[in-house]
Amino acid sequence: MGVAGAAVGYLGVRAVRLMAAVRAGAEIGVRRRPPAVTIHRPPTEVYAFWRDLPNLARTLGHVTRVDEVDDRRSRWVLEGIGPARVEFTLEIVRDEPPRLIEWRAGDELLAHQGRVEFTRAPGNRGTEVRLHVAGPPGGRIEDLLYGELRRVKQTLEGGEVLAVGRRDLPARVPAATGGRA
Amino acid sequence: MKALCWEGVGRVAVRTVPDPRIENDRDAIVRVTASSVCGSDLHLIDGYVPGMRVGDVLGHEFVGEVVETGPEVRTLQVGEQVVVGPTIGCGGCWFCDTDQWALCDNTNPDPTLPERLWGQSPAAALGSSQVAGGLAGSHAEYVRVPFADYGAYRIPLDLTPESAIYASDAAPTGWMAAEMCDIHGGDIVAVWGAGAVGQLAARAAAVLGAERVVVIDRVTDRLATARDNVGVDTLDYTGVDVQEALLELTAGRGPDACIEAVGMEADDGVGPDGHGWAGRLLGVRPERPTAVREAILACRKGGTVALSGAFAGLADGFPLGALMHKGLTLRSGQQHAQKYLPVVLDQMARGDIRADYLTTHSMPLSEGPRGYDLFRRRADGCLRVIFRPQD
Repeated sequence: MGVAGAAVGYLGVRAVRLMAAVRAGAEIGVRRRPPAVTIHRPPTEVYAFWRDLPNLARTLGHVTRVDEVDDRRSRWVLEGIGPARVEFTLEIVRDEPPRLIEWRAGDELLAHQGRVEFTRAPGNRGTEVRLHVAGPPGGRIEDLLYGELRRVKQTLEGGEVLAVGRRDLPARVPAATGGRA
Repeated sequence: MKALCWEGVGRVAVRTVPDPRIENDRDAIVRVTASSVCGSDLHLIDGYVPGMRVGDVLGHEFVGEVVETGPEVRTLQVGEQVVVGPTIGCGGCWFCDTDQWALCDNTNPDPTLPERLWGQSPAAALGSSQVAGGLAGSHAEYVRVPFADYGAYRIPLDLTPESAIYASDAAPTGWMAAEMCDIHGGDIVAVWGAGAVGQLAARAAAVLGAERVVVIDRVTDRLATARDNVGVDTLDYTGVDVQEALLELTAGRGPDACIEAVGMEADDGVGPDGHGWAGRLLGVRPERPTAVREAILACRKGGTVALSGAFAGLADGFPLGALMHKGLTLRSGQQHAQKYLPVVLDQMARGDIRADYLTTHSMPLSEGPRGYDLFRRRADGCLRVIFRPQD
């Protein structure tokens, strides 16, 4: 025993601890988040925010312009998705305030059918908002939705979408003073 | 402006970075007059917290002067001296509405990393990693404070900045830890860690009615400071068996509540470089919850263990058996600054909480790397270093 035994024990503890961490780490993975959020506001308010499309568009990313053609149809212009500018017409096909809005959007890249449902969340938690979207294979539009839902939630609850802040540092600049901390 | 930035594992440096500006209508820009080091900065510096980027500005515990406000800021005026809490709360989500501000749903601009690591994203915090939103910290001449109406508080006239600075984070963290203990008459509270948070938690426990408070550490001058300024008993774990000493002190019951104010880099007899190359190779840096283990083992049956030290990832050897079979309550969380900051400011103004003695070193920001070195080594009696970015 003695020194050799102690050393083996020491390394053994170390190895067990490392392996446990590796195992647990493997359980943490990229998980797709369904496009559903709870917004701490009553369903009527959340519905009204959503149904006012030019207002909704100001909160969503990528949308540069929305023109309402009539009660049901609107013309959307998006930038920053795909190659350049995307334009399409969106038509509301079902409108049941304050419970549900269903729409259909035409044209190429972002052709999809969508439905948003608003349900009262239990215990004064506000409104459960769930998005259902069927689009072309590739899921580009679905990838955008969770982020967009968060922006709507941030705007309704906190009044603004927090900007990340300035950070235009180069990867390496000479330090004025530096050293081990 | 000058700012103290993270340079990679184990390294910080003073750099020139862009001045912050108002980016959202509820932002304020604060000219930082004093900014404190914190034990949790060491976890960031040492690479235990994922999502640090070279150039990230450190610091989250500070006082300063409001120099600019966004158009939607309602309660703050330019020229006011303020103390600012580190966590950012939107004020409108269910968590903020129920006074759980550190859990705010909306302030992390990119919740992807915390959602992947923890399932959900807590609030953003200043001077942390991307896991908490990557917002620039207060070790700088200026700092942007989002949702400033909720996070920044006027410093009462009778409080010095040297005291008020700890109303930002250390004192509220200590207060929340003691509150989590649900202290009743006759309770004996043990606190692991005699740093600023541990000492302020011990003081809060006494104010909240603990019969007796005992603080555990190995740094003798910190223990002496705790005895002198907080009026508590202390245990030096290098000289006594802590479990045995606590059983003796409580006549076999164990402390009614245990507060952990140490965090993920606790002394485990192996040391910080224990996992060295093997850990790096496997891509993990296991945390060392030594004090959590001790607290759970020491706590009396049915008692409460409150975690105020910071953990970020994974820790092994967790005594779940003791937790379960002794029927313990485990509570934790980053402090809800917007709830507790006014409470501790009030306690400080009344003289029930003293914090000025915690600042053992004060220096210009340009000496930031030296300040962290002193703090890390607990050298020269160092308890807290504050940087003065305007000097």
